[in-house]
Amino acid sequence: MKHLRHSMRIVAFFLVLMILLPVGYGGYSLIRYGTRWRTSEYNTYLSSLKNEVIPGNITDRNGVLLATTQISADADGEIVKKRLYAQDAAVRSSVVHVVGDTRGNVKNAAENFLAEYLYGANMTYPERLSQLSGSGMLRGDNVQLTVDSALCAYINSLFPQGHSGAVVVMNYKTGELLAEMSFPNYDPQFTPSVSVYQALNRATRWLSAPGSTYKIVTLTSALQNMQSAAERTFTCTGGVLFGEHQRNVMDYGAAAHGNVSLKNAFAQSCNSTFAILAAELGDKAMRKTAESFGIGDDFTFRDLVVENSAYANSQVALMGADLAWTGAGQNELAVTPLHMCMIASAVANGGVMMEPRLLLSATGVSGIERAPFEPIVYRTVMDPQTAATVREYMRSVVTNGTGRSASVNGLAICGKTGTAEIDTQNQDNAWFVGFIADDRYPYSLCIAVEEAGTGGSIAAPIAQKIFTYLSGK
Amino acid sequence: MNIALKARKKKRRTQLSALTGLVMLFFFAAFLLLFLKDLSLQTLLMAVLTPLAISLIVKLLPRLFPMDRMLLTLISFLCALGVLLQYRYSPGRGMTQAFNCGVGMLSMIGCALVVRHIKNFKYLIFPLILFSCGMLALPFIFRSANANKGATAWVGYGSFTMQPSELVKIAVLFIFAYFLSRRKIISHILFTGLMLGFLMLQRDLGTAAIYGGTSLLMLYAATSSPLLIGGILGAGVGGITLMYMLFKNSYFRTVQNRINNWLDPFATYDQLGGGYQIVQALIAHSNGGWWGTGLGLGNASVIPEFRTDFIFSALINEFGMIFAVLVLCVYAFIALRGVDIALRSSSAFHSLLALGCAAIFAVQTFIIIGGITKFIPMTGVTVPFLSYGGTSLVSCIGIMGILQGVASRNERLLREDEKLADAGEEGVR
Repeated sequence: MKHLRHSMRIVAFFLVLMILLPVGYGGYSLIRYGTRWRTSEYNTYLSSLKNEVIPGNITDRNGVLLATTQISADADGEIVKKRLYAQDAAVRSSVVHVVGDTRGNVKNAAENFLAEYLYGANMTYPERLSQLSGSGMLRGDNVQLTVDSALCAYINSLFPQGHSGAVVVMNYKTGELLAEMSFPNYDPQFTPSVSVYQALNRATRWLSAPGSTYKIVTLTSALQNMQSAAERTFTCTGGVLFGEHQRNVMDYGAAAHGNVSLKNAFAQSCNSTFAILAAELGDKAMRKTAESFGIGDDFTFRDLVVENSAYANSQVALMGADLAWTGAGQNELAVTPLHMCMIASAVANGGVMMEPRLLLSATGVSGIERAPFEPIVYRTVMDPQTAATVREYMRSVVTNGTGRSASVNGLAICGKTGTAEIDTQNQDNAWFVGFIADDRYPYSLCIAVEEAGTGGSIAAPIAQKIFTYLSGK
Repeated sequence: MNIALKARKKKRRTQLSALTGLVMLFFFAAFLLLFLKDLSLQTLLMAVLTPLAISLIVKLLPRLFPMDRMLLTLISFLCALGVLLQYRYSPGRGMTQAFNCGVGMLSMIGCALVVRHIKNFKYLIFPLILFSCGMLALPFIFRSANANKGATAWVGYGSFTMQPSELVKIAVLFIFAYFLSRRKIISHILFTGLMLGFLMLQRDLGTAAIYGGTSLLMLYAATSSPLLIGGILGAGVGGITLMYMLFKNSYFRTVQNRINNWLDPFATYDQLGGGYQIVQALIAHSNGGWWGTGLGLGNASVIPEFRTDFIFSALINEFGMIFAVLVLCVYAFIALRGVDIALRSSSAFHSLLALGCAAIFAVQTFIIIGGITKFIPMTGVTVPFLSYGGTSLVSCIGIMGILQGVASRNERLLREDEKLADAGEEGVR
C-alpha cells in the first residue's frame, strides 16, 4: 500500500493537470486570437448584434468623417439605418480597404475588425442604461483611425491607372499608418457588386517576392555576420553561376557593374554581389536575419490583420542558386507591402520595429476614452550602429543609385528600389521602400506596382511626390 | 479529544451547508433569469424545484448510509448545471436531462451499495468480463440510426438508443482494479488491448482513448514503474504509426481530417466534415470572452452537436471563460477528492477502484475540453455531467457512486476501528 500512496499522489498531479491544461490553453488562445475569431466573417452573433446597435462613426486622424450612420423613419414609422461613407468620392475609394463596407467585402477592415468598439461591446452597464433611457437606442463607440484621408486621396491620384498594387505610409517612430492602400479600389457607396480582385487588400494580404528591396535584409545580415564586409570589393560581370545545374543569377538587363564596393553594389542594386553575399553567409545566417525582421512570425497585431511573411516554403536549408536568388529578394520569399514598410521603418528607427497601428482612439457616446493610443514596440531588429550603416547605404541609393528619382531637395531621403521578376507575368513588379531621415517628418513608405516595370522608373517617382507632400513643400 | 473532533466536524458541516446554500441560490437565480425571458410557469417551477431537489439530495441521501457530503454537493451542482444548460436551449430536453439525473442518482446509490457491501469480488470478475465483451459486441449486431456519424458506438431498438461503451466503463473499472490489486499485469494489459480493439473497430476513438488512458494511469499507480509506462506508450505510438501506414486511405481518413481540422480549422471550414464545428465553437468562446454574454443571450446553438460534445462551448459562451475555469476547478476538485478517497482506503482493490474512477473522469474531461479549445484534435466524447444523453449521464454518476461506496466503506472501517480503540482505552482504565 505504501508504494501505491506515492504513485497515486503523482497520478493526482497528472489528473489536475489534465483537467486544467485545456481550459488554460483556451484562455491563452482567447487572449491571442480572440479578436480574430470574434471578427471573423463566420460569426453570426456579430451580425445579430449589428441589428440592435447603431454603429459609431469612423473618422480619420484629422477628424474627417469616413463612415457614419444615418437614421430615418420610413412610412410605417420603422427605423431605417443607412451606413454612409465619406462625402468626397476620391476619399471614399482611397480608404475603402482600411474602412471596409457594410457587406464585409474587404476582409478584416475596420468595419469588421474594430466591431468590438463600433458596436459597443465594451460598454459598461451604466452606460447602456443611460443610453437606453435617453434615446431608447444603443450607439457604439466613435472610432478615430490613424489614416490621413487627404494623403490617401492624393496617393490615389498618383498611382498609375490600370495597375494593381499597394501603398503603405507609416510613422516609423509610433507605428501609425497614415495610408494603407490597395489598388484597384472601389467606391463602397455606389458599387453594386465588388469582385474579389477589387476587395483584396494588397497592402496586408498580398504575399509576393519583394525583389531588390529585400537587399536591405541581406545587407544587414552581411554587416552583422561578416567582418569587414563594408571594405570588400566585388567583381560583377553581369551574372554568377551557382550549383551543379549551373543556374545563374543575372543582373538586371545583364548589366556588368565591374569592380564595386559593397555600398556601390547596394546603390546600383547589383544582383551578383548580393548573390555572392547570400551564398557566403549561408542559409542559417540568412534565415536568422530574416526571422529577426519578423519574417515567419505569426502576426497578431492589435488593430489589423496581416498575412504572415515567409522566407522559404519549408525549413529545409536553401542551397546554390535558390539561396543566391533569395539574397536578391527572389526565389520563394513572400512578403506583404506592409511588412516591407515595417522593415524600412526598423532601419529608420534605429533598429527598433514598431507595431503597425490603425486605431487612434475609440470614444464612447458618454465621452469615455476606450482605447488611448500608445506606441507598441514590436521587436528590436538590430543595434543602432548597424541601422545607421544601413541608413547611410540607403541614402546613397537615392543620392547616386537606382532611386535617384525619389530624391527631394533639402530632405535626407533614404530608400531602396526593387524590380521583382515573377515567372507568370510579362512585366516586372516595381517596388520602392524608403523613409525621410528627419525627426520632423518621421515617415516611411512602401510602394508596390504590379506588372509595371522597374522600381527606379515607376515606384520611385511616386515616392518622391509622397515625400514632398508629407514634408509640406 | 473527542469533543475537539466533534467541534471540527460541526464546523465542516456548517461550511458545507453554506456551500449547498450557495449552489441552491445560484440555480434559483439562474432559472428566475430564464423565467424573466420566457415567462412560462414551468421555468418558475424549475426555479423552486431545482434548489429543492439539490437540498433533498444533499440532506437525505447521506442518511441512507455514510457518504462523502462534499462530493455529493459538487455532483449535484454539476448535474443541475447540465439541466440548466439544456433547459436554456430547449425546456423539453432540460426536463429529460433532469429525469436522467434522477436515474443517475439511483445508479449512484446502486453502485455505492454494491461497493460497500460486497466483500469479495473474485466471483464477479469473470461475469463482468463476459458482460463487457458482450456489450461491446452489441453495436456490430444492432446498428442504430446514428451509425453513419463516424463512430458506430450506438445500439438501438425502436426509439430506445444507448451507448454500451458508457455502461461498460463501470465494469471495466472493477476489472482493472481487480487485476492490478492481484498484480496480474499481463492480464490487465491483454484485457485493455481487447477492449481497445473492440472500440477501434467501432471507430470510437474518443472512448478508446478514455479506456486506454485510464488503464495506463491505473497501471502506473499500481506499479509505480515509469519504465513500464514508457514502454507501453512507445509500443502504442509505434503500433498506431504502423496501422496508419497500412490503413492510410481507409480507416485513418477521418483521423487525417480531424488532424487537419485541428491544425487549421479555418482552412477546412467549407469542406464536408471540415473545420466548421470547431470554428463556430471558437467563435462562441470569443463572443463569450471572459465574462460571457449572459444566460439566455448567447447563440451557441449554431455549433453542430452543441447539446452533447460542445455543451462546454455553450457554457463558455454564456457564462464566460472565467466561470468555465471555475467549473473545471470543481472537476479537478472532484478528481482530487477521488484520489483522497483512494488514499484513505485500506485495501488495494478499493484503493485502485477509487483511483480509476477519478482517472476515467479526468481523462474524459481532458479529451473533450481539449477538443473544443483546439488543444488536441477533436474526438467526440461527452462532457461528464453536462452533456445531453441518458447513458453517459447514468454511467458518469454511477462512477461517482463507486467513489461514494469506497468512501462509505472507509468510513465504516474507521468507525469500527474507533470502537475498538475506545473499548481498548476503557479496558486500560
